[in-house]
Amino acid sequence: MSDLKMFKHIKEAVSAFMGRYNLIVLGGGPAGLAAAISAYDKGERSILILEREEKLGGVLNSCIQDGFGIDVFGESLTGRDFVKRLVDKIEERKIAYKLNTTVLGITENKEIEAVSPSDGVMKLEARCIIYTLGAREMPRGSLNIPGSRPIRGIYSAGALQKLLDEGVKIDSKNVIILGSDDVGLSTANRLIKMGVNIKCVLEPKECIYGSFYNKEKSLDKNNIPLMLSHTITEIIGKNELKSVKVKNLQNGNEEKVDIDTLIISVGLIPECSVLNNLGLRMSEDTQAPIVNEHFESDISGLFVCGNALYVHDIVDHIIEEAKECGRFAYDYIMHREGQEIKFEETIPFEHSNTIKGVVPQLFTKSQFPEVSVIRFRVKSTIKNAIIQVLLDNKPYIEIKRALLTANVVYPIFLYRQDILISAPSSIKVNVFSENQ
Amino acid sequence: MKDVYDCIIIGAGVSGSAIAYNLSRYRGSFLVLEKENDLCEGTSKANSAIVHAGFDAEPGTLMATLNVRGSQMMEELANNLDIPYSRNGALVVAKNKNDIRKLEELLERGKKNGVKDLRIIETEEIRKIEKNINDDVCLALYAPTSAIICPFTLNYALAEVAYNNGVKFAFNSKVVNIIKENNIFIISLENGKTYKSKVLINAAGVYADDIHNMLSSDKMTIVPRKGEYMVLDRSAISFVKHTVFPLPTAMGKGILVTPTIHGNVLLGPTATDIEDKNNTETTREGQDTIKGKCNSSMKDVPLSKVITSFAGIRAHDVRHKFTIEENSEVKGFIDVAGIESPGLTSAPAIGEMVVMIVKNILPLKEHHRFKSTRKGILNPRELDNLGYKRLVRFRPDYANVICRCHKITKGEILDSINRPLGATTLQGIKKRTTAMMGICQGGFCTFEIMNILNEALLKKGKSLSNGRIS
Repeated sequence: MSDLKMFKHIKEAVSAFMGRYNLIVLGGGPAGLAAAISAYDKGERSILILEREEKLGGVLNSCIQDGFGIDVFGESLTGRDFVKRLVDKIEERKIAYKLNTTVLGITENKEIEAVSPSDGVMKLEARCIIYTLGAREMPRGSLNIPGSRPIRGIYSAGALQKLLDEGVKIDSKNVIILGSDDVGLSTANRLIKMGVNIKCVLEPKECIYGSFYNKEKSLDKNNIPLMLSHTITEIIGKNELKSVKVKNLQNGNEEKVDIDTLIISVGLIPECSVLNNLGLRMSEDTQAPIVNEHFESDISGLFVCGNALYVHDIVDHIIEEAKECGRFAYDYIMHREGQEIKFEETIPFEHSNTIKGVVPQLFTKSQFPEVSVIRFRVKSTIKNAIIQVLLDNKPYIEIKRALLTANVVYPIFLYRQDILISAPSSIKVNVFSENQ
Repeated sequence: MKDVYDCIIIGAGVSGSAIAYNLSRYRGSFLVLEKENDLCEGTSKANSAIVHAGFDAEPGTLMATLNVRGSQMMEELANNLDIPYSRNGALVVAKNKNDIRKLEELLERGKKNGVKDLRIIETEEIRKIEKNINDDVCLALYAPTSAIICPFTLNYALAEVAYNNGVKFAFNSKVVNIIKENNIFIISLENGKTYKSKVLINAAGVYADDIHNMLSSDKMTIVPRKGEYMVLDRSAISFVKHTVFPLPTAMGKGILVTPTIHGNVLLGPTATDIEDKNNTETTREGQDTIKGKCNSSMKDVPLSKVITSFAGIRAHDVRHKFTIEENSEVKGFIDVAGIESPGLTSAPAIGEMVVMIVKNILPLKEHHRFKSTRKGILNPRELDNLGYKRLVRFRPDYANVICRCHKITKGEILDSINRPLGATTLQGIKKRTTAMMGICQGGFCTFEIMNILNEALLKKGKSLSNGRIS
């Protein structure tokens, strides 16, 4: 080993000892792990991952069904096996991580306050942070369903999965699942295999929230009816859940149904409460920080990716995105640290109101990467759709799709040479139906 | 079990606990009977958590006197008993220039009641101190002495000090019958036990009429008046600073928009008279009413940040008054009834007043070893860095974050269970620590908290009562 390399190693070891790292990744789920691996593979060695559970992997640890990793590993793996592959890579590379560690706060100088039973209170400094704390479920309270507040019988899907992981016995006899997001569908699958009777899955929207693949696997194969445009309007049962009122939103009919368990899986919201004090611009659509094409937030060197940025539909896309982000983070540390991006250099992304949230929300003219992926969701189903990208109101891309649904995240690819040539001052994404 | 208690109090809500607290200054045998499995299970746990300034109550009434006295006492009490409290001030807003008369009426009432620093302010000043006030609000009554408090901690702290000074508490002790024999009250419980006392204090909240009517031929009627609320996430805290009221109506103070002492925003309450005293369900109509009315005083209330809603029942006397007196017919029996708003505010003053009534019946000698202060559950987030580091070295439980939303640690949860009159249920831990009250509403942490509770109870030789997962 050359003297320079040796010196660098020692320097990094000493820094780590003092709580200083080049890159700190907040959250050891798929996004965090992929980002760390990617930064390492590009050349970064001073990396620390902070994870609040007692193991790495995040929510995928609860996913016993397969379907993960088709793009990334070329195989259909269970959630747990997918995680194992990532964790193996972490261990191979000896990337440092801390478990049982809760992040209490972040400052605008990228100092992190965290706490764990083994290490006590930690003050860590990072030259670069990748924030991948994931997304959190919406519980019954956020839906504001009126009625009783029974102590037993109502669970959010992910929370229930965790209980099952811990070996808690569920003696539910009659279950309704409210909301058709992927977590709920997976939970349905898991419960059916345990012999629990699931009456139906109710989805307030007119389209399923989770993936069609998951629907087929979890609902169709198990003969669980999916009732679109249905919701719950009342909860009945003082200490224990006794029944709910189910409403058909199309014809207004309400019916009382006796159940002992209600599972809520109406979607996720990015977990960004730790960032509240930083005054970052937040996107109303995604409820997450606004980022540029490098996944960088308003604070230079604070990157966000994974579900914390945008609730994704497929884990493989999260991995792709996190890999990009890891590479950008390395570039930042090597070349761009301390360089403030001028406001005039950023182009905000506009979109038609048929789109619910576009990521990223900004582009930086001077540092546009070779290829940038824009991801978006539509608010509701569009048939015979036209996806248009306009640079300075002039059409640049036009794609036709027979059907766009709200449960899928769609990508558009933008190329640097085109951006540099046209040097636009505005970029707009329009999605509309040809039929209009 | 003592043979004949000097005093038995029925009800361990904030009124009963305040009375117990004041009684515990004296030597004697005192017992509080509570039908639920914990303190603070009735109206005391489901209210606006406001320490009212006192301009709303009618001058000359007991409500007015006790409201103002309670409001004056509360800051010192909060300091001594380590209760989260903040004097954030209140605004009663009006949208019509003509409504100035109604505000002036409140101002006059307030002055008569002894409320300090009340004044009427106009648009510019209102907007300066409350930036999200609705555009059409032109006048407001500003009451700087109005405050917000943690109603659970107030209840627990009063009871804890009472307990530390010798007052006994019995839970799961529903009173089903009372007779008076030879100047002694014989109180029969649903669980078969019987207690005797010389003086009986009825602080049974919504059930005060049931208790009263067991003894007195002069029947009392308490109307259960339901109030629904909506709670917004802590990220909405910068939305409102003061407790903002609309103009009051016959049904009460109206739907307010207020910060809470724990950093949330609280909307409500509605006011609907109901039949069933047990009915604490929220309703579509109630929630819609809140959504509609809250935007009257404030603009663009961030309703999307709702994290939960709840309902409480007020003990409304149709005459809209407090009844705090020794019964004329049944000597030694003291009613503390009709304690609706401003009940929480008045609690310290109610405690004072009732003890004075007791002193007229029983000779009470002061307790020379009365310990009047207490330290609440240690909040590691209030320590400075060095303090926290030291704490964690001795008690690593305080570095184990269990409730992710509120960053409540295992140390705090254990404290809430192990301290005097500690939690024996998940609900009890919730109210004492605010764990499970955050945005995930217990989604992440309920299981872990149950394990901690179970372990701690087993150590004490007890078992989990109402926290079982189905």
